[in-house]
Amino acid sequence: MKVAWDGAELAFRLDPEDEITGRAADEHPVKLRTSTCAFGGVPDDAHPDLFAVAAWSVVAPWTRRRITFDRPVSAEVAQALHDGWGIEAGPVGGPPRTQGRTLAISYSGGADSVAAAAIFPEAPFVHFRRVPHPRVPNRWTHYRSDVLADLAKKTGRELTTVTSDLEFTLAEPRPGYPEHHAVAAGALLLADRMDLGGLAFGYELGSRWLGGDRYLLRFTPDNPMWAPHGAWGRLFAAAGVPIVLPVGGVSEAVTMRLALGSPLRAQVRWCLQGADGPCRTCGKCFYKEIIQAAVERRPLDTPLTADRAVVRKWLRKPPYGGMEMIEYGLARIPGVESSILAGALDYFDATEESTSWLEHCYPPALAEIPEPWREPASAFMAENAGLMTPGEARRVEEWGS
Amino acid sequence: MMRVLVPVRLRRAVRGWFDSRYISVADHRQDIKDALWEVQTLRREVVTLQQEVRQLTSRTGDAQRLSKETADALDHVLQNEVLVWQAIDGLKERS
Ligand SMILES: [Zn+2]
Repeated sequence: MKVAWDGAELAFRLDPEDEITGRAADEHPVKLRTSTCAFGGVPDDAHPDLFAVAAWSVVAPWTRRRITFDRPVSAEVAQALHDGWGIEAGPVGGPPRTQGRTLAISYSGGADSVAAAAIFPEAPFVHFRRVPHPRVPNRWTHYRSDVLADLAKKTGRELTTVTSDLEFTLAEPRPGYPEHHAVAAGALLLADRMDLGGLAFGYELGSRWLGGDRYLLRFTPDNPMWAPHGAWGRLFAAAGVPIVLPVGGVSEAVTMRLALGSPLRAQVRWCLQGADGPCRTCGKCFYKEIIQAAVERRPLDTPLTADRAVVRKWLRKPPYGGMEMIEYGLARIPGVESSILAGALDYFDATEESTSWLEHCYPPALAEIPEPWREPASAFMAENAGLMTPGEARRVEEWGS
Repeated sequence: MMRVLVPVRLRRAVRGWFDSRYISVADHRQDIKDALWEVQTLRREVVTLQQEVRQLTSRTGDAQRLSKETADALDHVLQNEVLVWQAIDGLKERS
């Protein structure tokens, strides 16, 4: 792979061993559409390591053996690429970036990132906003990135919005981040200007420790995407922007509770489709409604019926990503046995006791938050969620076994 | 409105890229000509589809189908462009 930046425009070229179909860090196959993308709202004079890591978050799935940057990277970043992916990176030269002092939050507006924001009320936000790609007809106009960006503005927090069309480099499964970390590409390019020493993401217990999303569905202490000692964790740290997961130890039930109790409650939005409010009918809306109903101890409130695909998704046989939150909902939603979710009861012996671990914080998640942010995050969790008992922590550690 | 590659623009891009970063243009003019011919063939396919779309705008169903097919075809053109560049670089490395 060869990458070249023209200002904040990235162009890349495949080496002979590279292929159009590659794999992201979560093993998901991803197909390349086009090999250019651009960023708006970022400086063009960031440290070379920041350009390198930002580029890597886009091209990693399609790179097999080596990567040639258009400016020398530090030996530290080259080493992290070698150790994490077996990739030869060059040219090498120049000092590594000096870590800054500020923690920024990669802010999507969803419940998880709002919860992370509640823990660090002074931290500035960096918001990624999708814009169309000049070479790709936009067939995804239902995705309302403008609405999400407006909501981020209304939080009153210090906000930098980065625009990018990088998601359209991906043809299959659909436009999206080639690697999950590409959401941070703009924040990386801003790291010098913002004096960043860490970047906080809203990834919660399921994503970090239970192999959630489209990943392994088992206990993942060595998660290559989010563990500090994993490939991506080491690479970000080498660029002086270690990954921080303030809510990595708590479930989506806790992040939902924290988000709904936070000053940003009015700006919480997990739905990517609705303009005036959440659409209430997409898969994300239904999943979050299950969690919210459980947290608020009220019956499900949804216009959906059990024959809809977005509902049937949660009525199938486990295992699947997010199943812990379905069990949580089954244990706590009043009248669930006569709701559209009743079919899921066949697969779980859900009780409040069997799901109590989902209300507390997994202590090792706090231990891996870098200083100086570990103490405030730990104090916040002790006060607002409580720590898991050893028995509850075992539920995490035996997950999927 | 869809944007497709025009040869002049592409040729300029090729030169710019090679001049600034990797190799001289002179050594590989023939490789580039071959590659351009391939890209142009693909481009003609897309143009044909575009013309079809224009002729059929009154027939909504067909227009919708064709606009989807055009977008899909453009995806393949874009992917082929990536592969053409890869082939050019491969020839360069072997020479
Ligand atoms: Zn929705």
